[in-house]
Amino acid sequence: MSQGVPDSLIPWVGRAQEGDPAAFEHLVTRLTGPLRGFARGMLGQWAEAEDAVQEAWLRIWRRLPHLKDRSAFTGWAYSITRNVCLDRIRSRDRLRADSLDAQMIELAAPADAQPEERTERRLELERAWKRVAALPLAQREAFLLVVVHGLSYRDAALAMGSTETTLRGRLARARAALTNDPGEEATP
Amino acid sequence: MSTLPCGRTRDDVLQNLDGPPDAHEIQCPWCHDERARLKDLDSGLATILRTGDEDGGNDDGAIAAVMRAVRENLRPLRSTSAVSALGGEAVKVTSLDLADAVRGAFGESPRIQVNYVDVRPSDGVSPHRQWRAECAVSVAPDSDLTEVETTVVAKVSEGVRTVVVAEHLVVDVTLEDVHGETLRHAVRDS
Repeated sequence: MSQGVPDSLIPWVGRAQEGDPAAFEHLVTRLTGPLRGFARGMLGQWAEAEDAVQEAWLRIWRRLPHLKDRSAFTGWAYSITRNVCLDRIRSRDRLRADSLDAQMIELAAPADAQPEERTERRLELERAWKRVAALPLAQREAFLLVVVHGLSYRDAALAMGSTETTLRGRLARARAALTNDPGEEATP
Repeated sequence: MSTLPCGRTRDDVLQNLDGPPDAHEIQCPWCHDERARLKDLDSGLATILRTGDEDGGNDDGAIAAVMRAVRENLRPLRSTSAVSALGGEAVKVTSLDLADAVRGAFGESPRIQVNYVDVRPSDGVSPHRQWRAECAVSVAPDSDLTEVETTVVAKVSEGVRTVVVAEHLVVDVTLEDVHGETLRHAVRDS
């Protein structure tokens, strides 16, 4: 970008607000991977996460001219993606995050790995997702946004429509549940 | 709830896991070890859960699909009747034409980053000859804000006047830090 001002998404957001699709494409390129990862965490399925993120980007594009605080774009984009995911979860009326789809398992256990390694990695991923899926939704969101996707407390709170204090509490409870010794682990 | 030999609990350590250790944690070996253990578990789990985020889907395909949908839903650009700065004839200019011209006037400034430009007519007569421009820029940390403000007004004026005749131009300047926080806001005639 320049020597004195560090690179950030802010000018791209502004340019996209001016109506430039190329600037919007830059934002899509930068954030689609993380947003899809977050949606996967919410929905538990790659294919559905893909659809959810496409829907989220369309909502983002339509609402972008009304965004006042360009520096809040990332948290705002997560917030819209979260709402799309919540709509989908409500419409199917149950969570499927405790069941991994074939694509996720394949990613965890690439075809060129040894059979034992494939099995071990698949089980490791399944165990991790089961523990996360067992969390109450608000705690799961907090953990995914802050720990897995690296959002600041400010952006994560914005994405969840809560305060940083509430977020901090949810995150601590999520971590307490996830870091319990296996013997202490609550049954999902 | 696990209680450590020092009397603190695991939850005490968890409450502040993303922040620096407090005075007690710095000198307490049990809290220190518990923090390290929890951090390891945290990052290990995060690493597992990030599996496939980079290559989980076909990123190029996903981005192309999003952009196809976006292009089908393009917002119409605001188009305004103005007087051409080149030939003096009445022309139609879009909001993006004017924003481009202003951004072009700034060029590749090392100290100023243009974040947002919006130029609209301020008179009620078509073709328009009076304008109001909104311009938000980020400035390098050690900048002289008064100097930057003057530069922004001059650049906006230069950019707008390369495209349209502007008998009167008001520039609404917002200076922001590199994180987008407002440092100064001013409205200046040009």
